[in-house]
Amino acid sequence: VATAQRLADIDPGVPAWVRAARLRFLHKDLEGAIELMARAARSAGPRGETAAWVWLELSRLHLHGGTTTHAAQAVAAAQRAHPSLSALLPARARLLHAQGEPSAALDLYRQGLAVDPAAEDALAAWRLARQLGREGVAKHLAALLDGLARLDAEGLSRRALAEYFSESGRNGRALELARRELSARPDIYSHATLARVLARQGHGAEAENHARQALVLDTPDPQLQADMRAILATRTVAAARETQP
Amino acid sequence: MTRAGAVLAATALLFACLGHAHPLGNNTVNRAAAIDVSREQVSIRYLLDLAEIPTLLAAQEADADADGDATPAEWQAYADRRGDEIRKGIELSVDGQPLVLALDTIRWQHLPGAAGLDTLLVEVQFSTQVASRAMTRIDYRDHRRPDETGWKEVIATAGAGVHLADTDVPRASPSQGLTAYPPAETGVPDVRAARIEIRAAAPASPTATAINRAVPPVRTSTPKPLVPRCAPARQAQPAASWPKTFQPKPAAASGSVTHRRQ
Repeated sequence: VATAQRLADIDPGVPAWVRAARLRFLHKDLEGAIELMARAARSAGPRGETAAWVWLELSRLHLHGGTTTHAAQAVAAAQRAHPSLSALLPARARLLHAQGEPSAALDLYRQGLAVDPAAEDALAAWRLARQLGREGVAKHLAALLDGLARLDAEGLSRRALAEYFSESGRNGRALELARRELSARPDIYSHATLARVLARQGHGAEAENHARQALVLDTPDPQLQADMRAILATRTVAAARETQP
Repeated sequence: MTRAGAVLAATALLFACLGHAHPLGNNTVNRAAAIDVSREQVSIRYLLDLAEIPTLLAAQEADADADGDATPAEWQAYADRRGDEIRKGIELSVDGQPLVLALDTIRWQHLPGAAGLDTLLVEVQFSTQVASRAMTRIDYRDHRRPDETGWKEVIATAGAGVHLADTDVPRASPSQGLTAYPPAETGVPDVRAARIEIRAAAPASPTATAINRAVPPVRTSTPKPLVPRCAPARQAQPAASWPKTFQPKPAAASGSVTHRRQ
């Protein structure tokens, strides 16, 4: 973080601020990350694809902070900056989901998938479809995820696909993908994915280890925090039961 | 290279080396329009080739009752909607006068793609009547989904009673009607418009027609090596040469509808 900040001080500008903001977020400083990302967004200018991407990054940070109003403003700014950006649709879907409108969010995810079928968005849409009881839609989204998995020879979508296979009960495939992802990208989110997959399969001790690794930076991502702390809490309860006479 | 071109190149590079993948990438929607002009009629055969991922997405769109399965009837209805969308999206004029196209037939077919997935081929046939004149200029323009990533070609041929004097598009399909995409250095065309000038031909002469059809293809795009050499040219349907109609197909994976002329 200090190095990124120093680079931003020496050579200020959008790329340096975005880089520093991301690092600040990873290292627990959500407020500082939002401040830097907002500065980058304002500096990127009112129009253009780069500006839109930075506004979308800012909207994600606001969502992590739970401030959907600010997130909505950032998404609107991204829309003004580059209305045809395909990433706007899933960004608006995430926003609607956070605002408690899952059905509208699902529709937007599906529109977005028609333009850019990213596994991460397909996974989010599949979860929503199941949650809403729209089994037919969920079945098609599952077919899409299965198709993306078959075509993902480079492993670009392993993280989302590992979660999908785990949640759909295909444990062996999920575990294989999660382990390969951690090997290829050993970061906190890969630890988190493997922790979730292991926990669902009852491998508590190993899941706990990876959950701790996922929380090592105390990154203020509410979903990450909730899932990892739930795994750790389950382990604590299990340990307490074992020690009871 | 445009951003779409770069994405296409990267996708092609990624998937072409896998051996069985769609040569233009698993997330492309490819199109070809063949315009055939005769003394009294202009017909357009329009093909859409959806690669594996768009086909999976199309299944959701086709599944009208949202039960998770797209039946042949639902696929036919989907193809009908695509046909209507194409009709509304293309513009044809003769000597500056716009023509209304009638939709004659729509066919669809699933074909085997990469990794055990299907691709979808939709064929739509349009036609319109024209008055015979000594010299006629026909303009074609496809306004639909210009940013869609994929192969876009237009060809023009002369039918009975006319001679194709000049055109800015090829007279034979470089992709054999989206069944055999040329490899490597031939590039990916983005042709969505055509200008065709025809003259009334001398009384029916099979030789003249044969000469017209033998004119070599006209290149309209700058060749760029988008698909690496490891990618074989796609030979999905060797017998289905353009502009013939589809080959026999499994009952559960294809269909067609003939429309009444408007």
